Amino acid sequence: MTHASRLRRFGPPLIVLMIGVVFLLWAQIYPRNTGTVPTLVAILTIALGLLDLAGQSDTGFGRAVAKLVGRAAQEDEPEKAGWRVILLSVLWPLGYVGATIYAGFLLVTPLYIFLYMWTYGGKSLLASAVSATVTTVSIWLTFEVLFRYPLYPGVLFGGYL
Amino acid sequence: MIESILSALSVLFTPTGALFLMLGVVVGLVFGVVPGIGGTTAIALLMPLSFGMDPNNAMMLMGGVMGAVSVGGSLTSILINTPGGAPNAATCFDGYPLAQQGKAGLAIGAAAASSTLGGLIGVVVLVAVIPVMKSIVLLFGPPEFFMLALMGLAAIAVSTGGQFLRGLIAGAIGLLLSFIGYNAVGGGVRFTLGSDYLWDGIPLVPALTGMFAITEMIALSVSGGTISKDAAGTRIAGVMEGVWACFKYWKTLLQGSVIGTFIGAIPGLGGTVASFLSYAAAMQISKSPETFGKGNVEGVIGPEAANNSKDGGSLIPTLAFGIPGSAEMAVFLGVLVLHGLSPGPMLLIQHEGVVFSLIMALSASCIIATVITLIIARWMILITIVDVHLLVPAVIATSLVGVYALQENIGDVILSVVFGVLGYLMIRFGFPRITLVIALILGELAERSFHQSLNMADGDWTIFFSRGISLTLFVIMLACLAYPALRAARRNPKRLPEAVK
Repeated sequence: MTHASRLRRFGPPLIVLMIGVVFLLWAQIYPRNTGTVPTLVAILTIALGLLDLAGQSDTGFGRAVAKLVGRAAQEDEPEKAGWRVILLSVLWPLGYVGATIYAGFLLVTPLYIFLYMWTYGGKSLLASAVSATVTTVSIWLTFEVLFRYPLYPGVLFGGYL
Repeated sequence: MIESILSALSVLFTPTGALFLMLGVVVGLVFGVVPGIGGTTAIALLMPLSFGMDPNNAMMLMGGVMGAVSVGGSLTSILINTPGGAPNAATCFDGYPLAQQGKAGLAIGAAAASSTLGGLIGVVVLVAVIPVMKSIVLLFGPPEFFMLALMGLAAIAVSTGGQFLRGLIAGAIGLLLSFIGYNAVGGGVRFTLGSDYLWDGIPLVPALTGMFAITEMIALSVSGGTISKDAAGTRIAGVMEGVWACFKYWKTLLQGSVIGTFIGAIPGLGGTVASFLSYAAAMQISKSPETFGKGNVEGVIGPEAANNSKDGGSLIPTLAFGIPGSAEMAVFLGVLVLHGLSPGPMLLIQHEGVVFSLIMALSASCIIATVITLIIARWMILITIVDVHLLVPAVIATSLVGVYALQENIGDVILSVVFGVLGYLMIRFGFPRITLVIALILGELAERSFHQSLNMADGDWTIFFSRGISLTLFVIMLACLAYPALRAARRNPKRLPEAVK
C-alpha cells in the first residue's frame, strides 16, 4: 500500500474521530441540558469513526466490518482528474466569493464568468464575454429590478461583513 | 358547504379570478425556479399588492403561488442539481442522476404529475380532515417525533448501499452541525466559535444550496463534458412516461402525499422535513431500495408528492387554529389578517366561501403549473446537453446571489461555498451527502423532542419504548440498521461467521 493510498484510506476516519473528540470536549463546557445530546452524538461519532478506521485495515476484523457495514469505494481508485484540475475547480468559487466580499456581485460576477470560461473552460473570447454579460444582466434584472433585492456592493463600496 | 364550493368555482371561472390565479402560478413558477428564494418570499412580496383586492381574488393569487412554487423548484433540482427551495432538495437525490442518464424527461414528468396529484390529495385531506385533525396530530407526541427523526436517518443511511457506515457517520456529523447556535432547550448558544452569524444555527437554504448546487458545479467543473452522458436519450426521453410512473408507483405517491399532509399539519416542521421523510419512506416500500440515489423515479415521486401535499396540510392548523405550519403559512396568515379574516375555528363559519376559494385556487394551480411545466419540459431538458463550462460559472453566480438575497447577508454566501467544498470532499472520500443534510434538518427536532420526552417522563427514558407508535418506529429503525448486515450475511453465509470470529 502506497503512502497516498494509506492516507486516502485512513485519513477520513481519523478526521471523523477528530471531529467527534472536539465536539465531545466542547460539549462538556455547557450546562447539562445543553450539552447532553451533543455529548451522546459525539460519542456515537467517535464509535462510528473507530469502526470505520477498523474497517479500513486489512485484518480479519477489518474485513468483517467492511463486509457488514460497507467500505468506501474510493480507495486505490486511479485518479481520473488530476489534482491541479480538482484544486482549480474548488478555488474558482472560493475566489469568486472572496472577490465579491471586496468588490460586490455586479463587478465581480462578469469578471468571474469571463475568466472562468476563457482561461479554464477553453471557450472563445466572444463566447466568454457574451455569457458573462448575459448572465450578469439577467441576475441584475431578476434580483435588483424585478424582485428589488439590492445586490451586495462589496466592502470597498460600502458593504459590510 | 356545497354552496361555498360552487361559489368558489364561480370565482375561479370569472376572468378576474382566472387572471389572478394565472398570475400567481407564473410568479410561483419563477420564484420556484430561482434558487434560494421560494414561496415564503413570493407570498411576502405579493402581500402588499393584494391589499385592496377582493378577498376571493387574493386567495386565487396566493393559492396560485403556493401550488406552483414547488413544481418550479423541482425543475432545477432535476436538471442542474440545484434545488429551487429547501423542500426540493430531496428531489435532487434521484432526479439529477436520472438527468445524468438522459432521463430528465422521465424525472420532470414524474415530478410534475406527483406534485399535482400530491397537491390534490393534500387539498382533499384538508377538506375532509379539519374536524378530526386535532386528535390525529395529538397522537404524535415528542417521543414519536424523536423516533421518527432517528428512523428517518437510519432509513436514509441504509439507502446509501455500500456506504452504510459512512452514511451513519455523515448523519452523526450532520447532527453535530445542527447543534450549532441557539439551543431552545437550555437557553444558551453553542459551538458558534464566538460568531454572531451562527447564533441562529446553520441556515438551511445556504447550506443546502452549497451541498447541492455548488458541490455539483465543482464536480462538473472537474469532470467537464455535459450533465447528461446520453445526449440522444435526452431528446427522446418520455415526459409522459414520468407521468405514468406516478400511477405505476401509486403507493409511493399516496404515501408521500399522506406524509406531506400530516407533516404539513404539524406546526414548525414544514415541507423540507416532509419531503425528506417521504424520500426515506419511499425507499422503505421500494422493491429496489439499492437504486435510490442512483436514479430511481420513486425517489422523485415520493418527495414531490409530499412537497405539494404539505400545502393542504399546513393550511389545516393555519385556517382552523390560527397556528402557521411553516414560514410560508406564517406569511400567509398575514395575508388573511390583511384582508380582515381572523384565522381560527370561526373562519370556516364566517368566511367559508373565502376558504373554499383558496382551496379551489390551490387545486387549480397544481394542475395549471404542471401543464405549463410539462409543456416547457422538452426545452428545459436541453440544458443537460450544454457544455458544463458554460453552465458552471452562471449557476454558481446565480445560486450565490439567490442565497445572498434571502437575508441580504454575505455570511450566507460564504457558508454556502464552505458547504459546497465540504460536499465535494464528501463525494471524493465516499461519504454520502444525503444523510448529513437530513440530519442537519432533523437535528433540532430530534433534540427538542428528546428533552421534551424526558421532561414529560421525569427523566425516565423508557417513555420512548412504552408508547405504541414510538415503539413501532423504534423497531422499524432497528430493522433499518440491521438490514445491511443481514443482507451481507445472506450474500455470503459461509464466510461471514468466520470473518466475524
